[in-house]
Amino acid sequence: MILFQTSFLANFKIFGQVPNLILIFLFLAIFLNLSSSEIPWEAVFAGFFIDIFSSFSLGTSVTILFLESLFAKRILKNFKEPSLFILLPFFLGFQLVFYYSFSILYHFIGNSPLLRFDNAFLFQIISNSIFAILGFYPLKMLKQRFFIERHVESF
Amino acid sequence: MNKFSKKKEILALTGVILLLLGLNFFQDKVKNFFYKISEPFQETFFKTGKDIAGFFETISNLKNLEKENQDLKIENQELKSQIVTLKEKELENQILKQALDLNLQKDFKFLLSYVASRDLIQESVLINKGKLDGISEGMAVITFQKVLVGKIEKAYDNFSRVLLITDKNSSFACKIQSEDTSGVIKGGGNLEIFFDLIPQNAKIQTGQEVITTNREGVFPKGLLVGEIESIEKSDLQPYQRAKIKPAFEFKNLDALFVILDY
Repeated sequence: MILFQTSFLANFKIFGQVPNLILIFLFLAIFLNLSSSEIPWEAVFAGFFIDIFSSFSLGTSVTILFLESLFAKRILKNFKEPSLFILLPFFLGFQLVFYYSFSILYHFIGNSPLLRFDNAFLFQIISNSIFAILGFYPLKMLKQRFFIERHVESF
Repeated sequence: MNKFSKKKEILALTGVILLLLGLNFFQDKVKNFFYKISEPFQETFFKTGKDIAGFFETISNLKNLEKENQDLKIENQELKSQIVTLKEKELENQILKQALDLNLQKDFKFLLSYVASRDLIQESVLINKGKLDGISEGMAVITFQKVLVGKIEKAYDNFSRVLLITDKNSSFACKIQSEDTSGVIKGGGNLEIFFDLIPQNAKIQTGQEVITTNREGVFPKGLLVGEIESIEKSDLQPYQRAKIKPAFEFKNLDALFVILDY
């Protein structure tokens, strides 16, 4: 997925941005509770590969995504059935925390300018959200089917 | 989840954290390894994406093709006559230099490389040459038309990360070609660049080309940066500012030259 994002999708940049597929998939995995573990291992793997294919030190994305996912899992425990109405505001917050965490970190470490909420960033947020919506129903169906099959097997 | 499996998970997580901390000491080698194994896939994905993007662009540009063709023919004629004039001046220059016994500036020493991937968040690209090929941080990167693309931000063994001039952390001195008007190019992010700190009394216009100077020793002089797209001028500001259209196209970045020496 990450190779697809950095090479294939790089040809379709708008405002210099492409949908962040890794972030979208990670969020959907957390949101739909695809893993039964309390520890968000998916965040560790996603963060590792984001760090590899970016200029960040190993562990930067892992730490940010891990803490974010842990927090998200705790909050999502209060919702029985995940729906689209909960997904959108939740994902918006998830994205803002993700992008601004890096911006603030590198502003203080590398004196990099802070992330601006401009057209490009807005496009990034919107395109990520659209892809999250597109992925939500197929993944939900897959999860339900997998859940039913496991139930049938154990029965 | 029972206590035992929870303990196992926490233990596994501690192991992962320690592994990541340990890997940081070999970060360059680890990244280099992943770039090496992913390079063939990235090349295939990128070429496929480029072909598809090119196809859609051709369709959307069909109605403009005829006009563009006419404009290019006119520009071609103008450039041909300029070449004739320049060739005469070049000959004159050579004779003068021989006469004055000046040392000729030595040509750049280049290294050809290809783009392996694009960065997820920063405005940078990864090229398939690194420390083992003689590359080190700070070297300028250009296209074969001597258009400035960026500089080497980080060199691994077999790969290097090129920070594009459009990145927000990029800034360097430059001037308008054939004039004395100088300023600073600053990356604006989103593949944009701005020509800043231009004196208020400087007469600049759209279409003028901006080139590098060697004032700070960052880039060799005379490399093309782009052309002025629009100008922001206000009497309340001490300086003028212009938006520059980069001379390179991000999606067409493929073969790049690293300047090893100049």
